[in-house]
Amino acid sequence: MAGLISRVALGDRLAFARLYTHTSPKLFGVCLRILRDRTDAEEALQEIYIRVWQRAKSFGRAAGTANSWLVTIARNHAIDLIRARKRPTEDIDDRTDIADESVPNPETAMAWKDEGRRIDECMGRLPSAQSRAVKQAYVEGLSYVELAELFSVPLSTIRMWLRRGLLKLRECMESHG
Amino acid sequence: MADESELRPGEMDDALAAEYVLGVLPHDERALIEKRIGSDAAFAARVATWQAHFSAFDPDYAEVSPPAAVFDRIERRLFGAPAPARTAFSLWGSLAFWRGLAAASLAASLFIFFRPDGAIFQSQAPVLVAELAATTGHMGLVASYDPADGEMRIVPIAAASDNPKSLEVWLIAEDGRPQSIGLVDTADKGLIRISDPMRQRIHQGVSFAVSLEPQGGSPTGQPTGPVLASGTLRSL
Repeated sequence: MAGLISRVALGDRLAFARLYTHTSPKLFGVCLRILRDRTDAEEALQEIYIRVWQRAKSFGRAAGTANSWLVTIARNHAIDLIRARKRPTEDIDDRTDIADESVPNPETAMAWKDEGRRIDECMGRLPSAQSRAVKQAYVEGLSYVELAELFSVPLSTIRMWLRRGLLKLRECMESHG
Repeated sequence: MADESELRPGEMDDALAAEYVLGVLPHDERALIEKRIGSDAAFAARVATWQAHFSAFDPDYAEVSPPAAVFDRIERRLFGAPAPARTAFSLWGSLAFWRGLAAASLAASLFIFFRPDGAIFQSQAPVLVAELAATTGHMGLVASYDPADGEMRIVPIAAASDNPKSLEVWLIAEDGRPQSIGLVDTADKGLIRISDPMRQRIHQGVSFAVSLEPQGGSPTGQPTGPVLASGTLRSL
């Protein structure tokens, strides 16, 4: 995957097409999960791959793997979009539909699992509500406002509480080297 | 909004970086942080560290195949519509035709099929063709190779002519090492005569690249200039 991105950085359109084939189901999954709307997710996916094409040169300087670089571009764009919206429309039924349509792909599923799982141990040391909030915020792109509603606490309380969890997490990750 | 007095400055930055990566912040705060990432390397490093940590959650995202039309729209936005034929040279016309057709499917967009005389290919003769997609957007090349007479033709799709440099064609073998096939002689319709030993090595699946070299070719025997185009050979 990293090799493909390097070729994309050289402007190789065939490599770009191949990169899209291999990675677009994952990045589309990111868009759907965070934006919760199919049309918005398709629009976002276009924008994301245009950025991938434009920013491929900076991949070498970025930390982390090719997969996390791609997901970061997708998440940042999707979260920017949803924060710019006034209020996301929560629709449980839509989300079930999306899950049903997901395509299991053993080959690529493996590729997305090669990130270290050290964080799991540190997450396990947090109070369960705190680790759940951290993970849900990341995966679903929840805002502080949504988290405050979810946990039925004031906005300032949720922020202080989550920050404490994040700093504990950092301490744990650093102590593992 | 939080009581921030209890955090030390380093902790404060780290918490902010984590909040940014999680995505919990409101839009205006995100925008401020994005600016800071561009100008504050130490802060950008904190963000990168959190990104690496949290990427462990990425497997939670289910894979969902997007509709095929999305990639067509991406290509159209990045590369524009297929270039219209501006010449009587029949190959160029057929190329534009195939490129237009290729928009219909991803697989077809990777390869084009034609015979050197410009007619649509009807199979039988084993002519091998690679479209060498331009990396700069200024030009593209098509390579066709006929094993029967060992002739390779490199045809510019849209040549940037006033360049005193040479285009050198490289065969990229399975081991990834480029070997020079020769220079593109634009005066001779892009014909490159392939040497006998090299003929053995040209088969389906090998890749070609074209690099921009000093006039007369690479002085080192390896590509020295930018790679303008690359592509993989497929049988028609």
